[in-house]
Amino acid sequence: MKVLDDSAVRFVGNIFLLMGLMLFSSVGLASQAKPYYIGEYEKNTDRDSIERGFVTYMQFCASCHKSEYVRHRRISADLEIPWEEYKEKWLGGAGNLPVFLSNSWTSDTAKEVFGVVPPDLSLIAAQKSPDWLYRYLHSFYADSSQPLGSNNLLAPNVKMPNVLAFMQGVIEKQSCVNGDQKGADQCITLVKTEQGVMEDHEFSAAIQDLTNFFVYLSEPSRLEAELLAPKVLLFILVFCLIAYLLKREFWKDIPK
Amino acid sequence: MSRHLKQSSRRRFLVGATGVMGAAGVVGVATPFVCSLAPNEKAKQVRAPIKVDVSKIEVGAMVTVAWNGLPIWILKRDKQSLLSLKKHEALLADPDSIDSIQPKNTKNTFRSVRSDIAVYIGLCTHLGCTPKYRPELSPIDLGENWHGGFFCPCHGSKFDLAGRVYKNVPAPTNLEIPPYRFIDNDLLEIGYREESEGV
Amino acid sequence: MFNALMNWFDQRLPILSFLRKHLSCYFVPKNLNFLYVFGIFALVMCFSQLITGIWLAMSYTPTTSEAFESIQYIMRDVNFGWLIRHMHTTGASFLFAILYVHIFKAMLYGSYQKPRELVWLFGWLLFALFSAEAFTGYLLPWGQMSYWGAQVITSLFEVIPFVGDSIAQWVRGDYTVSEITLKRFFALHVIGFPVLIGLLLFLHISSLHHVGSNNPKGVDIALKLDGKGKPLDAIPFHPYYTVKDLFYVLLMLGLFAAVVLYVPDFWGYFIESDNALPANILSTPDHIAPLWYFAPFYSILRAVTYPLFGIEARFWGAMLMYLSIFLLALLPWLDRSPVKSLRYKGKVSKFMFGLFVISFVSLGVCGVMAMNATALFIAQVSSLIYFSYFLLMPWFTKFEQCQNVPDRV
Repeated sequence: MKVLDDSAVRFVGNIFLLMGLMLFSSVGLASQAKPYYIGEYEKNTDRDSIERGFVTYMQFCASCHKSEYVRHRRISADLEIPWEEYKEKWLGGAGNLPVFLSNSWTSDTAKEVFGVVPPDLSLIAAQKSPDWLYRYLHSFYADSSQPLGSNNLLAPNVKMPNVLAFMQGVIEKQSCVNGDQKGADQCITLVKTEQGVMEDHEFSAAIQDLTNFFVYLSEPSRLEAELLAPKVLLFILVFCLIAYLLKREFWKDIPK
Repeated sequence: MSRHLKQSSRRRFLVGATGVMGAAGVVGVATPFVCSLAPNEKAKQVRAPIKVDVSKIEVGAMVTVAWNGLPIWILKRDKQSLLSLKKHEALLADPDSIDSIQPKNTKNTFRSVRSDIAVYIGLCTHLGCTPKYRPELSPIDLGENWHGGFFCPCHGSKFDLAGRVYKNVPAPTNLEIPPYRFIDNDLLEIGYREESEGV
Repeated sequence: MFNALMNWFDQRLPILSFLRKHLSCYFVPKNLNFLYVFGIFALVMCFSQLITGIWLAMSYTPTTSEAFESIQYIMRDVNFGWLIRHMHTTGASFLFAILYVHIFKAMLYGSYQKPRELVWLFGWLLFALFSAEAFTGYLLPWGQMSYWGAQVITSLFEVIPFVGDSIAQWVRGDYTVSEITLKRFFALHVIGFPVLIGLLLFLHISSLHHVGSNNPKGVDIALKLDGKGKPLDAIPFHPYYTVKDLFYVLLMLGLFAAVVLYVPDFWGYFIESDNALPANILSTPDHIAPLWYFAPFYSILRAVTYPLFGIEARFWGAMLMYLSIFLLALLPWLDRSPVKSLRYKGKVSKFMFGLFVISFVSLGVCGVMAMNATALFIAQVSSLIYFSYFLLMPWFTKFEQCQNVPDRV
């Protein structure tokens, strides 16, 4: 009986807590005062983060965008995903497997459907800065004047739909000056009006991972280079030390 | 005096250490340059298999197709020549294909999956020339003992119609056989593996 | 046994005598400082560029459809291709940084003066050749910056009155930069210029070894000899300078390795982000700037903004740019000072040289910046200083009061 009592109390307590939370969050939404906060991109080459970004890429980017300089085998090797597992999960098992991160869109059909050919993403992080990518992926907002219903602060009238909206929630543009006052166009902030499946910090973490993956994609050898670097520098340092002692030893012969 | 000796041994040690580090450094720098010359991902990539309809090939005729940058011979042999394969085994260097390279299911007298259709990589196992297809029996230039087969004009290696190498010629092993299978009765897929990659 | 073999060789090809003459019996002033290792640095980088260049040429395709792709092939598929390419791109920037210090040292200590005029002239030609080598090499990746940079620089020939267009088209082999241009730049970059550079390096070093090195004090060591005819203030190059150079070369290589392995793009200064986009003949990048090592001269080019004698401004800009490089060649004859090293020159020389160095650096800074009014003004003032340094030199070096140069180093 005691056990039942306990769980009943907890149940009622939970309901109250939930109601309280809902009330709190609806009040928060109604005020709309707080601008949508976009954090800073932090560069790192953590393989787990890159791998999470890769999963996001395969789920949401790969069906429209190609990354045709990149081999599936390379990703499987670099991210230490066993080839058998990779093949099964991302390439649909055996048979005639694709070599590169490509898809079946031809330029012509893509242009017809999207209005532009979605850019190849192999080098996107080298072309744009990682920081720009991170902010771009956060900066979509609902815009009914656009054919796809969304727009981007960093790339006005971009043809890309806001595919990550369900994670992020609904973001709307708001002028920080009221009404039609002067400067309303210059001062624009984003506000979140509807919760997505992710909390803000979760979404930012996902974008951080995705950006890390793009940074990796534009220069996969970075991982290798940063492993090699300390060894090379250590060797040169030791050699330098010996060479310095040798120089000092020989130059003892020379009177000042 | 003693100070001078001490100095010179220190000097010798430092010169030696510099030499060792220098040699290690040269080897270290040379490594990526040497490795760079080895086959890379693009070269290692397995080429897509190709399909060939063998019903169009006449009996006794041979067609050549390209797969994986190699000439591939597809040969349709008649009953007569298949029967004769057993007879000259004494003249062959490796009649049972022990030392030669071929898929397991072609390690037999005919060196093929289907007895009449033979598939070989058309490169002499000596130095990689393309041998000539010489199906005729005992021609003047090849002599009495020629039972039909392949003759390499570069260095005179001889192979029979099963691609098996004769004794006392420069080529060491039988003609190599690429992986292949029949998808259909007459549809051949060359380069088929359990797993393969296309572009 | 070993000695016998070496003797056999030496009688037929005097390798040993050659090494003795240029290393263990080559006498060098004992007071050479840190600035003197930059010549060795330059040689090391040249060698590195040669080797990495050979390896890159093995995998590169000089066609407009495949050039960009083949760079990605090198970066992603070729084993260690990324390392070799980044050594080459970083090496180019390092080489120019080293050359600028090397030239600075020669100007500081008067190493161009009699009897080293030829050493200086060969060096000057080498600098021109390295510039041509870098310019042709920069087109090869066929990125946006490669293409538009080449387009802009080859257009410089168009400013020559009457025949300009024909010359520009002759250089490109086409009406705009195209595959024809790419292929000839490739040929020049991998064969033409390197052969000339090799020849001039030989002449530069041969003429140097004939007259011997100058030193920071500008003292002529050949004037004080011991009984055997060896200069009193000199020491053999080997082992003393070989061990010293080895240490400094290793330091430099450490820095080089750190850049190659950690920041090969050097925050956009060695590899520009616009070059990650394949060349697009339909759209110009927002801001076309040459790589940092051409920036000072590019600044002079941009500094001229008004037409003169009825000829457009860009003609005079281009002429001034060529003149700014050409004036360097005249330095041995512009400097009329009786002393070599700036240490013993007069106050005016010291002041003018300081001003010259500042103007050169600010020209460089302006050259990498986008054009604006302040940058333009600074570039114009700096250009004025740059040219007045050379043009006034015959007077201020002749009439100023110099200090006495000591007999010994």
